[in-house]
Amino acid sequence: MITPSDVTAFASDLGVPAAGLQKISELRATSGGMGVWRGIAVLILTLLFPNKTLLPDMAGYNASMSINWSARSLPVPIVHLSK
Amino acid sequence: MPLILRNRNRSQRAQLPPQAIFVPNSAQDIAKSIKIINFFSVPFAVRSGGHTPFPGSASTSNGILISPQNLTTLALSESKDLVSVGPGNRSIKVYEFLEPHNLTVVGGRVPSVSVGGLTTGSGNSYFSAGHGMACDNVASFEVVTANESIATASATENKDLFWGPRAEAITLGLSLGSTCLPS
Repeated sequence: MITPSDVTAFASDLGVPAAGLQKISELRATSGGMGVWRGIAVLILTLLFPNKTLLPDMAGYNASMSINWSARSLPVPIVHLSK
Repeated sequence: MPLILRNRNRSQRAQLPPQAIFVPNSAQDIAKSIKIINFFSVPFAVRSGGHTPFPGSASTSNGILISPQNLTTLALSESKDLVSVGPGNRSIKVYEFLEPHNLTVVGGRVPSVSVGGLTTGSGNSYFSAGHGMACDNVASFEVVTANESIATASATENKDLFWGPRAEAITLGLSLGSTCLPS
């Protein structure tokens, strides 16, 4: 079982600055359920690697997903090969 | 670093929307991300090139996707009998790199197949009939393990981490690159 103090100590050990620790604390306070830890894990990644972490609302990520959804919305083509 | 994902899964069936996509630049970056993933028990997936077609093979819908597309080391040994290849390399890049030396590897049949997935998932090649699968031609892997350490795995060193990925037990560790025997 992870406790809030465990999270703060862990993030601090990783090198998350004080402002980042505050953000983690705020997210923890406003979120609930099992997803909160996943959210905090993603937040720590973005704090430590801001230029290497893509989130769903970022340009690169959306570019990938929009291609995905556009393709899915198309009917599947059926190609008949004949002589 | 470009923040555009150049590579997406080849098959639409394999495309899942992860919570975040992490694009590391080094083994140390990956080790740190694994530490975070472990601490919070977050589901994760790795997409070397995204060629494998089944869902969950190279993405996750509720976790973190690690994309080693920037790990594109390519180096030929002085003796020209080993090539070190980062998992973000596509097969075609390896072929183009070795061609001036009149060498090749037992690599992917499709040029866009990436090395990470190929060598940790057996890897069928046009040369397989004579030289075995791609994984049979790997001399060593550099691996990030679940305890965030970076290890070299070969037939004589960290053997479990060497044989495991060849048997598709890729959850044993995350391959950072492989050293292959050119044909």
